[in-house]
Amino acid sequence: MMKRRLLSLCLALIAITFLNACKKDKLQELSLVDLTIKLENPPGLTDIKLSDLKVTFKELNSGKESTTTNVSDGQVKISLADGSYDINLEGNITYQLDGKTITGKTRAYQSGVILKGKQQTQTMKLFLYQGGSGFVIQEIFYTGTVTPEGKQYLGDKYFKIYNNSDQILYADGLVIAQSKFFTTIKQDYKPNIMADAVAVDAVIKIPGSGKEHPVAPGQSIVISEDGINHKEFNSASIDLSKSDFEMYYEDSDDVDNPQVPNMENVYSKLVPNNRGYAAYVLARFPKGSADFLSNYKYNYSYNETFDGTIYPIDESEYKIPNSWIIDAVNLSVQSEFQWIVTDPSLDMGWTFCGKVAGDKSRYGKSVKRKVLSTTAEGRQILKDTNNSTVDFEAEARPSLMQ
Amino acid sequence: MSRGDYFCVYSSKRPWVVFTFLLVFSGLPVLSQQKNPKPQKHKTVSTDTLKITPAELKKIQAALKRNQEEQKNEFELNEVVITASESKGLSSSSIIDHKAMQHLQPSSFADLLELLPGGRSKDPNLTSANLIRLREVGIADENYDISSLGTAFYIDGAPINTRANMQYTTGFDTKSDLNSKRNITGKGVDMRSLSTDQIEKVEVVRGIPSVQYGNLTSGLVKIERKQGISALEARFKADGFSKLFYVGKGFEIPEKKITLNAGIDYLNSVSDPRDRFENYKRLNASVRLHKLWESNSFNLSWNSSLDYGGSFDNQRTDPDAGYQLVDRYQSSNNRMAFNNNFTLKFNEVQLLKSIDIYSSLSLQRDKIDQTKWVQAGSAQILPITTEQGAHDAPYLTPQYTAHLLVDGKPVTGYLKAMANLGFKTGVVNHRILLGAEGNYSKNNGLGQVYNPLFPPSPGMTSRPRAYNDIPASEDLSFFAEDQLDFNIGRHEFKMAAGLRSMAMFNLPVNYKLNGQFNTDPRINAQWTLPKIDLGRKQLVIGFGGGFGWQTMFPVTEQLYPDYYYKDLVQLNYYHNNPAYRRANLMTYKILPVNKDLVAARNKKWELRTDISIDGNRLSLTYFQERLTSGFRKGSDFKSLAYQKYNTANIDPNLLTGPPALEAMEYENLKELIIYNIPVNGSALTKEGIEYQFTSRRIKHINTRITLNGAWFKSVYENSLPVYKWIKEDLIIDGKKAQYAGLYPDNDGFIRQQLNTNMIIDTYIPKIGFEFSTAIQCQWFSSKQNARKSGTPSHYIDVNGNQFPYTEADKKDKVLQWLNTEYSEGVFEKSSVPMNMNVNFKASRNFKDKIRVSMFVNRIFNYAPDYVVKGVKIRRSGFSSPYFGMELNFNI
Repeated sequence: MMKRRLLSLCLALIAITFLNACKKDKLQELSLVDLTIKLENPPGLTDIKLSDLKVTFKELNSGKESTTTNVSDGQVKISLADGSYDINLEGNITYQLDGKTITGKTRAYQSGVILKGKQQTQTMKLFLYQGGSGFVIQEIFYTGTVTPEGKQYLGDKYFKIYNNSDQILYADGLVIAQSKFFTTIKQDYKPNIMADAVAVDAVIKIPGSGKEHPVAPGQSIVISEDGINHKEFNSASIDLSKSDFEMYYEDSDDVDNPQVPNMENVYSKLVPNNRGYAAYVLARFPKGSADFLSNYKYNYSYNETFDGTIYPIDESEYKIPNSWIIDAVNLSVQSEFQWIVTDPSLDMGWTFCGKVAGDKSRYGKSVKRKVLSTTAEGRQILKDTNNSTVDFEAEARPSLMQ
Repeated sequence: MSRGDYFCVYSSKRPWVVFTFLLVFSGLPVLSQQKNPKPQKHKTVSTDTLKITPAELKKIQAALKRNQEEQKNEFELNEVVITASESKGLSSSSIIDHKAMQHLQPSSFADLLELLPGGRSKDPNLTSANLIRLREVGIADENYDISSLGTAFYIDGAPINTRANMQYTTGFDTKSDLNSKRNITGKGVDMRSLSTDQIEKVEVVRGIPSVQYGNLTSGLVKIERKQGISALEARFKADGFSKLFYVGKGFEIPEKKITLNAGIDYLNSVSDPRDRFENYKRLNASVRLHKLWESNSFNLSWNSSLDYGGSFDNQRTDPDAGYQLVDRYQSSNNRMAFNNNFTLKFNEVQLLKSIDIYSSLSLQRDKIDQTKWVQAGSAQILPITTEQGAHDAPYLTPQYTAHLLVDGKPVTGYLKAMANLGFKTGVVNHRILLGAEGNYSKNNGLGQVYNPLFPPSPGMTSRPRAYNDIPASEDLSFFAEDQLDFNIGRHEFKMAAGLRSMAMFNLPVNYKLNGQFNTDPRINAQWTLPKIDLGRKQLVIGFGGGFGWQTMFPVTEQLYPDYYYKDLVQLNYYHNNPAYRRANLMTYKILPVNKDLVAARNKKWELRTDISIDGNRLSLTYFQERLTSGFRKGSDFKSLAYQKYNTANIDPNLLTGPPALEAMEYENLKELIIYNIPVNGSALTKEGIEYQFTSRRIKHINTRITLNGAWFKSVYENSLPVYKWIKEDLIIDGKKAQYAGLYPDNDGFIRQQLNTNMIIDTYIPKIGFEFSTAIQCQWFSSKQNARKSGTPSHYIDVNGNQFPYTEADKKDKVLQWLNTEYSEGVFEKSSVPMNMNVNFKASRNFKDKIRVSMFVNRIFNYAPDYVVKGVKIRRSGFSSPYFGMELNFNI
């Protein structure tokens, strides 16, 4: 008797449980957020007038884009469905500087803004944008190649720097540096200097006194890791013996081609990260290398979490102020991307070879800047909107590969 | 009816029949080997009479029989110990007998360590070396391998000597170095090579061992193997990683007083059940003979054993997954050991009680065969010369197959002679131990063999090296010990005090260690209070303590390190035309030997207490150990001169051959290098409390509860200042920074942990059933870095000159890189909160012939997530159980 009662009780309980599960979910209602964006003007400028502002909101999960031009009194107002957004602002700016009225372009960028609730206010910093009209990074071949036997080959990486202007430019003193921080590892680095400078772990410099290495408009120079014919070592590689410059480190595991001038090694060894997790910057040091080496050391600390333990880490590298930087390219891969390691004013996107960590399909591919237009005399103007996502052709065939 | 009671029975028909039953248990030995214990002696018998009828008598008889069986069963129940038991000897040690091993179902000796205080079950990892770490938290740092090196393993009285083991591989980077996790050079005994099936008993001496055992710092593992007649035993174990098979038998010829034991066991394991390309195989075989000659005046016993131990590692890439078809690693160790021990006991001599002679000879054939497809990452100069000086060097072949053979043939010999004397002075009984011991080890192998033109990896800093030209290493020791015991009133005192002196010989005369005697005083004492009667139970309280030094000599590889080669590029001319290329190197050959290397010494003391009442026992040990002279890789520097040729004046387009050096301009330059030398710098401070509580088997449910665990605090430090390179690959202004800093303190690590294992085991002999549940809790573990300064006291420039490092240097363009400012967070302690595993084991015996067992480790796991510095660390759900089963036959 007792058992039967228990059984019926159990059945009843089970029924309740299951019936409850059958209850329909509430239809998810689209809730709108009233977003107000306050724009902060670039510092040090007066009489600022903004015009033709266009703000693009890209929802990250759905990929849906919304735009607005509704800007008044330095405020953007829009109603958006809740979600996470990348916000991108473009427009024109007129300002006073040193008594002159200057007209130029302005931008602002913020990634991963989460919108929820009824109302939200966000601040965005406007920065001045100068479209690439000098040297730009045209191509980075950082992945290396694979031998017919399937082994990785490393020495054939190169950088290509392009004169995107209409005048002869001199490459003397141009600096290429690799970022210390990876786009795939986000840490709370203290102090955070990213708004003002890029932390770098290796710096190389084109030699010359100022006018030794002219580059004609529409021409480029190649800086290779080893300026030799790599086909001797790997039939699937590239002949880089005609490079303009090579990197050489006085060690027995590097060779020096007397027919290719060496880059100056300003700081450390530049070994391009072949997974493409770093960013590269092109810069000029206004006061030379000695000033940089003495005054721009960057000491920082962060906590690394590994296997359930937090390791506080102190490290030192150098930093290059953003104002010295001519061009920057962030590299990453889709599966690992966490953040951009430069200020958005330098680069607000990233490009790639390979889609996952250690993707073997990346070998033998490079990232190449897209052509914006070609002039009447046949000179190509490369696209430089300081957004590598749109400026670069990802997973391209290296231009030097035959 | 309880112990010590007696009965007397009358019958009305028969004459007085008196049954007297004495059930005296208090004096029984608690040795697990003793299978049929007998009451030792009858105590006082008094009689009493009463009249009963025959029917009543039958009843009583039945009751008596039942009772007797119950008592016997209870005794047997208490005999079965499936955990390690704390020794009652003078030094703290854990005893693990074959019952415990059978219940644990181990794959190798390494699995037994879970039974020691502070131990915890671990999944067997049979594809890397398993090293022992006694009384410490442990750290993954080669510089503290003195822990495992300093733990001596003795099998039937003969040590496993690993001094001449040099099975390391050179030249591989971390990714392609498949040997490093299996390398035991200077690390001691690899426990995975020891099988457990032929073992009768293991004693792990955690405290201070007797002076008859030497060349150790941390502890001693004494293994006694099965001896005497036995049925044919067979065992088959299978789990997710391995299969194990054993068969053994003991024979006896009673009339000749000979016993013969033979056993063979085989293990085949993989690192991952899905990957059969990385595996480990072990084969052990042993034949052991015991012969006894008895006469009125003496007994001579002879133990002889011939053992074979084979260990085989294989690793290669799955041929279906990738191009690395030729890449292959094979390592084999084959060891033959021949041991002979003689014990001569004198029955009539007053003073001299016995003489023991132990001898052992082992021959080993170790081989590593590694094949690797090498692809040059880019063009590279290949240094090949083995002589110091300037020379032209070729360039590396772009692709080739490299073969590396590491051939080691260690030969070890061991001889120990010991005399036991016994006499009495007043109330004090003395047992004197006098003896001497000698060890010999030599490696006759071909060493590191490869073609220098096709090295295992480009850019190696070593060259092929033979082992057979390294001299043999020999040591000699003498020891004397007095073991005394006496009673003062009802207080019992025991003490063992001894000295051991040891030295190494046959070393180069300029070595400090050559012929230098190190003397270890060691003392252990025990005081047992008078037994306190609490009703029918007795409370026994004892205290103990010990203090002593232990000394360990360096291994061959530390005494005779390999040459370090530094190749400085004088000319690097890689012309586009291969015929015009030329590379010239200045090669330096540096012997990184430390003539001042001495033995490592550990100072240990401990205090113990042992309380037992009614078969329940609690043991507590507090210990402290301090070793400051452990072997590690220290650093030294040298300034090397070379000529750097200037090719700027050569027009590469006008050459007709490689550039000639004779007329070329050059610059005299120097390069500062830092290289490793073996030093006595590792400091290891161990502190802790070990505890074990064992209950008697609870009646009716036949269950025993054992609680054991330990709190350990281990501090790992470098006791010497260290030279450190400024920063790897630091190039400033086109020049490699040529500075080193001398740092007064190096990395130090403080580790702590507290754990408790509760084992509830039930044994039901009637149905041959035995099962246990082990609840293993780690209450916390913590890590902390010892405080250190990132500022060097001195710096060394390119010429090898040393200068004090000043405040001004912190602002220098280059010297600033020698200084590191550590933030406070680096020295903060980080703790991991508790986690708990539950392991379950069960066995069923069928008529003592067949035994079926199974185990599941981590059948339940509790590891809550926790938050550190705002970061949530997730642990739950990451633990999967490890299980296996086995079948035993005893026919």
